[in-house]
Amino acid sequence: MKKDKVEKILIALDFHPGSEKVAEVGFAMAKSLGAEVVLLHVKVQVVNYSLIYKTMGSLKLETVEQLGLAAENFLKNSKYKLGEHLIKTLVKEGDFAVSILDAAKEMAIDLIVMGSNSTRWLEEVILGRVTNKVLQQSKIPLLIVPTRKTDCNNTFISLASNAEGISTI
Amino acid sequence: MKTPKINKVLIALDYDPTAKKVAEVGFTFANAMNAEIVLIHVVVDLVAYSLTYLNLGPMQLDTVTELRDASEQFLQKTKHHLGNNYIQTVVREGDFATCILDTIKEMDIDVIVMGSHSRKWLEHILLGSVTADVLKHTTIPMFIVPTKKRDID
Repeated sequence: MKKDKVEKILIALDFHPGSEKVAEVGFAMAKSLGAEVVLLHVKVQVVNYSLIYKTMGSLKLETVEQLGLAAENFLKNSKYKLGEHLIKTLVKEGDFAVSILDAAKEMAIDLIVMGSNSTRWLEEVILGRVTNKVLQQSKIPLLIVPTRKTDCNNTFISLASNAEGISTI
Repeated sequence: MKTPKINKVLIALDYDPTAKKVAEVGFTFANAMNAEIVLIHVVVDLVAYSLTYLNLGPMQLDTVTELRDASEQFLQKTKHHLGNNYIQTVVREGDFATCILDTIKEMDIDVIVMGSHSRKWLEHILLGSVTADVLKHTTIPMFIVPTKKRDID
């Protein structure tokens, strides 16, 4: 039988409220496996968005930087919530699946942990692109943590209403 | 912080050659977590098939029993392969997702282990139906073992 020891776990998080649960489950698992933990957040490529929404053009650069800062803060917060200072954090930019796979390869990860129903991932992860891509190309197991649908709907609505508010101004 | 402890792992297997890998990876994982293991095989609902193909009618009962026996043997074989006699085995009939979800509830399972690309599941999983069904309704994490197409071929 092949060696299948889990020594390093990658936990992929986004800003979705369900991320907390994902982090907790992943962390609890890492703890009982005695594995190292790497927290990963993938930033959306703002450039791609700004090409579509031309009005956002002037916001572009600042937004990328702000996104990066926000992402790092978010991971730091998650890290402290989990109460473990030895956790590594990593922020990547670009395609979700590609970034996750790259990080897994670079850091010699044995298991990827991600949530199921986060705003952006819900449709993509379950019905297709992200998980498909990760699953098709990944050579390591994937742990999917169910996060409640209602949570992400609320976030989505609040985000949408914010965006609307901005555009009408 | 609430730490979700993993005490019981359900490993879903089908007849696909990749089932061996799924069983092995799931077994290692469960062992590392010091968790109990339950192997499950879901028999496709033959009655539903026979309604469509009426000439299958008289064969129906035999086939179901035979399938169930074969499934039980298959799980026993896997159990011996893994070399652990404490593993529980379950054979169920019906809709895949429903069976899995029912078993999770009944047996108080903490994590479900499934393969990603099995012959039977390949289409379903990629298109989302089986996995999405389970994921949509499950409240426990799902451990997906990558089984590449070339492993099957």
